[in-house]
This record gives sequence, C-alpha cells and structure tokens, in this order.
Amino acid sequence: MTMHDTQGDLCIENLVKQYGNLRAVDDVSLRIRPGEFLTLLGPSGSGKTTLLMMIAGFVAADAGRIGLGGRDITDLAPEQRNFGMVFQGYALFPHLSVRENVAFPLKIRRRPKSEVEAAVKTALDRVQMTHLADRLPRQLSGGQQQRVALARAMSFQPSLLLLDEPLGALDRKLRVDVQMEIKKLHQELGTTFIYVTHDQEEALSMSDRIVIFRQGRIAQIGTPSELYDQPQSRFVASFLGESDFIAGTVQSIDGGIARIATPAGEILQNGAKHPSIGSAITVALRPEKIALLAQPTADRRNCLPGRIIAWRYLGGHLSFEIAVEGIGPIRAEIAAAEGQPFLQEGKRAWLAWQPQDGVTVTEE
Amino acid sequence: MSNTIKMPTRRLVTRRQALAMTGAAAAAPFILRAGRAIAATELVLVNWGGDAIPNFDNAFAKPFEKETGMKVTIDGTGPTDGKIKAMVESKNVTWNVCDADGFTSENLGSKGLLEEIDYSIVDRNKVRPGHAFQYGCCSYIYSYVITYNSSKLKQAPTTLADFWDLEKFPGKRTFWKYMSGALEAALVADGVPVDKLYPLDVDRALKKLEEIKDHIILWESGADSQRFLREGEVSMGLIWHTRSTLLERDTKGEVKWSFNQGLACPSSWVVPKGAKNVKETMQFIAFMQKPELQVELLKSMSNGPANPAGSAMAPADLAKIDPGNEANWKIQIPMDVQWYGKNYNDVLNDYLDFFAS
Amino acid sequence: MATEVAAGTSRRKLLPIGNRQDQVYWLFVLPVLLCLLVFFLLPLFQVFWISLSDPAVGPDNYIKLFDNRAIKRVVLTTLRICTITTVFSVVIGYMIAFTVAIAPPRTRSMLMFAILVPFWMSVLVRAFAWVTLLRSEGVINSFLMSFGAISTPLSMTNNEFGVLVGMVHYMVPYAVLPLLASMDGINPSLIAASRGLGAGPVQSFVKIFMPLTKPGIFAALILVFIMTLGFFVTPIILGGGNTVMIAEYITVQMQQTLRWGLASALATALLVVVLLLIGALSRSMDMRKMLGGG
Ligand SMILES: Nc1ncnc2c1ncn2[C@@H]1O[C@H](COP(=O)(O)OP(=O)(O)O)[C@@H](O)[C@H]1O
Ligand SMILES: [Mg+2]
Repeated sequence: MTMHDTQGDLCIENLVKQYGNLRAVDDVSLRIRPGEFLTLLGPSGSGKTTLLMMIAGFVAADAGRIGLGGRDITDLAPEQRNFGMVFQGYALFPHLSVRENVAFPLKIRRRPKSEVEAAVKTALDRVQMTHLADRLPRQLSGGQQQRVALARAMSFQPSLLLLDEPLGALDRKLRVDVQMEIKKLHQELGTTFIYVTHDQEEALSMSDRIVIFRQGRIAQIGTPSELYDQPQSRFVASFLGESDFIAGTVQSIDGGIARIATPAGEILQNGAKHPSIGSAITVALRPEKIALLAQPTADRRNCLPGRIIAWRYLGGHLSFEIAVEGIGPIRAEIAAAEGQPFLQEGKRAWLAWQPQDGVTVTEE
Repeated sequence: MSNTIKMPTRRLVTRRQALAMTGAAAAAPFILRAGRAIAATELVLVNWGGDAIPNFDNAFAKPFEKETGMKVTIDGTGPTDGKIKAMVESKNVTWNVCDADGFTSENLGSKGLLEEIDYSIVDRNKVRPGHAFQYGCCSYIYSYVITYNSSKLKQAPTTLADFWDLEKFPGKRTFWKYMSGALEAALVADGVPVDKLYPLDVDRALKKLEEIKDHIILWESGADSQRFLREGEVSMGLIWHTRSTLLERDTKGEVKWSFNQGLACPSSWVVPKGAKNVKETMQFIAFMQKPELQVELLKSMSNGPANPAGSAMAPADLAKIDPGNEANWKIQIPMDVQWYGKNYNDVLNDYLDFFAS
Repeated sequence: MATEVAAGTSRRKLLPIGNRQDQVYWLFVLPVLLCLLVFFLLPLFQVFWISLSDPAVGPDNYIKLFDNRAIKRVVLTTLRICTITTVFSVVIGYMIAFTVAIAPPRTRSMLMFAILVPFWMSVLVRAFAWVTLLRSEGVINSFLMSFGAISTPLSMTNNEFGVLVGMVHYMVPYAVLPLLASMDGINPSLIAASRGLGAGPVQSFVKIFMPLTKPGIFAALILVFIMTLGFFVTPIILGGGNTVMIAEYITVQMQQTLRWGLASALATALLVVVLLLIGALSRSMDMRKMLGGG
C-alpha cells in the first residue's frame, strides 16, 4: 500500500486499536491538511483520545498506518515525531518552573542557550505568561497552567499540535476566552492543530473541520456548517445541536420532493436522494426552523397540529415543547419578539416549516 | 523488626532483653511486681534454657521436692551478669539460685550483688580445693577443649600451639566470643609454661592472636560452635566439651576432641543479693552436692560433677567425658577464677575490640 | 462562613477540652498517655539518668564516647555498614519499586506479595538462610566450585561482606515502600508529555521521573539508615565476631561487663541521632503517606 498524501498531509489509513473485546478505534481513515484546525468531537469513550495518542505515538496501532508528508510514521517513537502536545490536565512538570517547562523540549533538542531563551520568551509572550516565568506550576491558576502547557507545546515550533480537551478543567467563562486565544494562536502560527473535545460548541466555534466520533468510528466529517446543516445520521443531528425527528413512510416522489405520511399528517421533504416509495424515512429538523401558528396555513409549508405542553423564556428566544399526536414531543424555538398571545400551555398550535428545512437522516 | 534470637545458648542475649535491660531499673518495679508471688517454700533455679531445663529438673528439682516438699522451678532465662545486677537493683529478687560462671561469683560478689554462701549448710568438702568460693559454690565442671573436624585435617591437633600452625592444620579456627580459652591458648602457644599462665599477660596474648587473627572466627552460642565444626566452616576450635560430645556423637566420629590442654572451668551456683528464702536455697545447693545427682547430669548433659565423689563413681563410659575425672583433670589447665573475677570486664572489651578492628 | 466553621473544627481538634464529648475523648486517651509515660518515657529518662550517674555522677560517660578507641571503632563500623547498606538497599529498592510501579495490575500484586513476604519472616531465619548460601561449603561456593569457577571457597560469611548481604536483603523491602509510594504518586501523563516533547525513555527517566521521586528517595534513605543503626542479630550471625555494631556493643556492656553508664550514654546518643533523622524525615514528607500510603 502506498501513502496517497501530498506534501505535509497527515494521512491516517484504516487505523484500528483493540482493547480486549472493545474496538476503541475502529477502521479510521482521515486526511489532515497542513495548517488545518481539525477537531475530533464525540461523546466520552468514543475513542478520541486513543486516536490522538496513536497519532502522537503513545498507543501502537493494531492495524492501519499513519503517514506524514509521504513518510510512514506508524512505528516511530513519540519523541521522534516532533509533534507538540497539550495533555488533558496539562501534564506540566511539577518540579520545573514555568520557564523550565517551556524550555524543556528545546533543551532536549540541544538548541543553543541563546536560542532557547529567545524561543521561551516568544512562547511565553504569546500566551502572556512572561511575568510568571519563575513560578512553579502549582502556584498557577488553572487558566495560567493551560497557557503554559500551550507555550510548552509550541515553543519548539512543531509542525503539528495535538490538544486533548485542553479546556476541560476550566470554568465556562474562562473557556470561551481561551477558545478565542487558541484560535488566534492557530492563525498566527499556521501550525496544524488536532483538537479533541466533547463540547460541541467549542468544536463549532473553533474548527476548520470537525470529525464526529461514535464508538470508535467516524460518524461524519465536515466543516461546522456542513455538519450542522447536513447531518447524515440521527446521531450527528442530535449530537451537534438539537434536532427534532419525524419518522414516516415515503408515499411518492415528485421532482425531488418526497411526500411522506406521518401519524400526524402528510409532509413534504426536499432532497437529492430519497429512499424508494413505501420505505421508512426519518426527517431531522432544527427547532429554530419551526414556526408556530394559530391556524393551519394554505401555502406549501408543512404543517402539523400539536398541543403546547410547556414553554420557557430563554432571553433571546422562547423554547416550546409541543405534543404531536403519533410522533411525540417536538421542540420549537422562536425569537422572543415573535411571541403571540395564543402561545400558552395547553393551547393548540400548528407547527410549520419549509420542505427544504428538514434533512433526511439515517436512523443510526 | 523482631530481632529476637531464641535458642538454647549460654550468654547469648537477645536484643529485646537488652532493651528491657536498658530501662531495667525504671521499668523493673512495674514489670516484676506483676510477676508471680512466690510462696515461702518455692525456689527458682535459673539456667540457660533448652535441654538444661528438663535435665536440671530431673537431676535436682524433682528429687529435692520429693525429699523436702519444697518445689523448685527451673527458669531458662539465662542469668547474665547484667540481668542479675538488674534484678538485685530492682530490689525485687525472684531468683534463688543461678547457674553462673565460676568467676561470676567473684565478679558480682565483690560488687555486693550476691549472697555469701553459707558453708555451715553447704559442704566445702564436696567440691575440689579452691572451688568453694565466698559468693558461689562450684556446681559442675566444664572445659574448653580442642575439637576438630577430621575430614578437614590430615592429622589431629593435640596442643593449643597447634592452633598457630597454619600449615599443618589449615582452615579457620574458632574461639569463644567471650574470651575464655583464647588468651590461654595464645600464651601457651607463645611458650608460657602451663603452670605460669596466670596472671594472663593480655598484651602478649593479643599479639600472639594477631598472627592468626584472619583465620579466626568467634562462636557466640554453643550452637554456633557446633555449626561451624559440623559444616566445615572451621577445621578446629576451642569449644565446650559438652558440645564436643554432642558433635562427636552426631557426626559419628568425624568431629573429634580430647581433654588435652583443655581449659577446665568450674561453674558455680550463685544467689542474688536480697533473694528470699536464703536458708532454704542453701539447703538446696547442699542437696545438689549429692554425687549420684551430679552423675545424672553428667549422663544427660556431660556436665562434670563438682563433687570429686561424683567423678569417682561415674561408670567408665561417662568418666571419659567427665572433665573432673582424675585422668582428664591432670591433662587440662585449670582456669584461674580469681583472675577472671577481677579482670574479665576490662579485658573482654579489649578482646572484642581486638577482633572488631 | 465556611472558613469560620473550618477554623472551629480545627481548633477543637487541637485542644480537645471544654464540652462533655471532649471529656469522654480524654477518658479514652488518658490510659494510653499514662502507659506511654510509665512504660516508655520514664524508662527513657532512667536510661538518661544512668548515663549521667553510673559509675559516678557526671558527664564522664559522654566524654568516653568520644575518646574511647573501641567505641570510636564500633561507631565507625556501624556508620560504614549502615551507609553501605542504605545505599545498596535504596538502589536495589529503586529498581524493584520501578518494576512494580510500571507492572500491570496482576503482575503488580504478585510482585508486592513477593516483596512483603520477608516481613513475615524472622530476622533469624533470614540470617541463617544467608549462612546456608554464603558459607564456605554453602550453596554458592559449592556451585562455583563444581564447575571450577573458583578453586578455594570465597569468604562470604563471618565477615563484613556477609553482614552487608544480610542487612541489605533485610532492608530492601523497607526501601521499596516509600519509593513505590512516591512513584505511584507520579502522574503517568508527565512521562508521556516528556516523550511527546522529544525526550527519549532514558532522558524522560533522568529528567522527569527521577527528580519526582526525590522525596521518596530521601525518605527511603533515612528510614533504612535509621533501621540499620539498630541491627543486632544479622551482624552477630553473619559477622562471626569480626563486625561489632553499636547495638551489640551496648548489649555486651549491659550484660557482660556491667558498664551500664557507658551503655546508656551510647544508647542515648543513638536515640538522639535517630530522633534528629526522624525530624528531617517528617519535615521532608508526609510520614503517614510514606508508611501507610504505600
Ligand atoms: N489502555 C486502555 N485499556 C483498555 N481500554 C481502554 C484503554 N484506553 C482507552 N480504553 C477504552 O477505549 C475507549 C475509548 O477511550 P478514549 O479514547 O479515552 O475515549 P475518549 O477520549 O473519546 O473519551 C473507552 O471505552 C476506554 O474505556
Ligand atoms: Mg479523552
């Protein structure tokens, strides 16, 4: 087998890691372009860290290969891969000062003293930690430790930076700040970032591309908007943002529009590829795409009747839970400004959306 | 850490005992008072444990109880000088009579730690001349005898001087860690006539020992001396004849020994100062002078009768191993108990330091 | 509010007096304190007093400690043997602890068992086991001579070598425990981080792992050294009279030569040294973690 990668691509082919009966990484293939910000997103235990550790060289592959710029690095020792790494929990060396931590990879590489000093200064300046250079890690706050870990990982200008849930231990407000800083760093450095998180908002806001993991397998790869707007499976649609699901049977297909029978009534659904007539189909629908009406409409919008079970005021918008007979509770969100007097608990309401707003998904 | 040695041995003290000693004076009242209260007619004989407990019991305690009704308990604790001192100073003396070295009677007696022997009860004439000490009375005779492993040596060493002949008698030698015998051997080897040994010229003896120092290991307990000879760790040694007897029997004659130039020593019964029932104790000591009882002990432990009458009545097979037997006595060197009593404490330290350096 | 409550509880722990519950607490502790006083402190004080009063009142015994040739030798022998034993025990203990620390759980519990077994074996049995191996016609010499590796038996017992072997063997498990505790405390991702940042396995060990076990090394050194200072049985059995250490010397002075004053002075000096070392130890690390946590 040859590596079909071009200059600098990190190329993962059919990678497998087996732990007993469990396939932690199950036949994963992926190509990462130089300078890309790629996020591995998935629920806890889905194999993200394992894949990252295989890329870093800490976990040996049971099958498959990893290539970098045409070179097979599958069996290369971690210290020879020249990747920067930010660990879950930072893994700062507790007996070394901030400065020594950041200098560590440079000293290991036997860079001249002056170069080490300059590189440490640059890295610490980047993360605004120069003033705390002589502290020990335990004398720093979580956020500060996080920055030192980043500085250390990039001080030797690695071609690839691997980050395993680097913000997992920070509180929410701080997390958003650091997200922006990491994003900025990425743009300044131009280094490839492979970033692991289980936080979908983090993934959406930072990544060039996201790989969604499920039970060791890739569920879907794409840009944040591709994944959000075009989820291919029930899993992706519900993991990334919220979705309502409406199941039914295809009645007819006419010019790319399928007519679907659901227990609550008929709906239309746009799409390039539809299952054959008579087969089951699931449509995923984002709650914010749904409009709530007091009366059924006569236009070509889909329209299903329901009863409001509960609603919440969420600042910018209102969130409703609506019982639709034969389908179950459906969530809908409307801008707060569009609130209407009839939208009260127990009242009837009509759910309406455009046929192109729904996405056909697999049931997985 | 349990650094405790437990084996039938003379003078081998355990660390725990040493530690107990360290705080003896303070702790003793609390510990000892908790001990058993002693009935008026009950005596305690303290020896060095092991087989000596049942053997002393059979030879002395049982017949005495039969005759007088007084019960004697044998306690195998090991009455070191230090323990006797501790007990006396605690002012709660539970021991009546101790199995001690002959010179202990001089050493401890002169420090006021022992009762005088009451020779109106104990019979001076039932021990050899010079063995009726002021603070102790000879209990049995033992001897440091030349013993060798015949599989290690082509010829038999017969004199103390042979210990210094490394060519004729290759291999390591062993002497007692607590000095008795080694200094005498060195002086004899250096040409001092046997009858002019005492007072020992310690410096001269140590200088002579220096010649073979690298070939000497010291035995601590009787069991050590047996082990060294049996296992061929040494080719020859100066060890208790009681152990030589056992070795010869156990190795079916491979280990051999003789009384020639052995150092014959009296053991003695001593009574700690302040002991209860001193009169009854003296009666017990007198009782133990009976020759037939001492022959019992010669039979069971090879301890030579203190009473010459005992030696005289021993059958031939026992006479052979009796250091007090007339023929054996003549070829041995009698230990000068007085010299040891006066000098032991000082010289022992020099002796140990000599080997440790 | 929260800090006030915390301060309140800690104050009560320090000074358990005042309310009824605390009196009950004292009721339980008092007998223990009394026992300590009677069986421990009083005898200790007595030892100290003997050192100053036997045979005559004054500091003579302590002066002797410094100008008596034999004592100087015993002390030097003890220090030499203890230092060598400590170094070897900690080095060997380090290797064993490291093996245990990186072993998978099942191997680990087997190894731990093997390490702890000697704790249940008396020091006497162990010393004699070494005699069996080391003596001139022992297992090792017979083996070496059987195929002509040596022609005369090696002298491995009844000398300092034998004592060292016996003592190191005894002390290794005591070195392993604090070392293992400190190794277990190391976050494994630190080593991964070091590797990931470019350090090879050896560099990662030297630059990261070793420095992080420093408290454990220090604790092991002091613990082993303290314990070796009091060795008695092993030197007697394996030393053949040629190696006299402090404990034996004290015993001889107590039991044989009746120099209680000198013995007590030496014991007191030894105790002071040990207490100083324990002070250094408890300063350097949490004793409970070191002894119990392993
Ligand atoms: N060393 C290991 N031994 C056995 N199972 C492991 C090991 N490492 C990870 N796993 C299992 O592999 C799966 C994936 O783990 P991981 O990659 O850490 O998931 P994530 O980082 O996505 O939370 C989990 O079920 C985990 O329990
Ligand atoms: Mg993870």
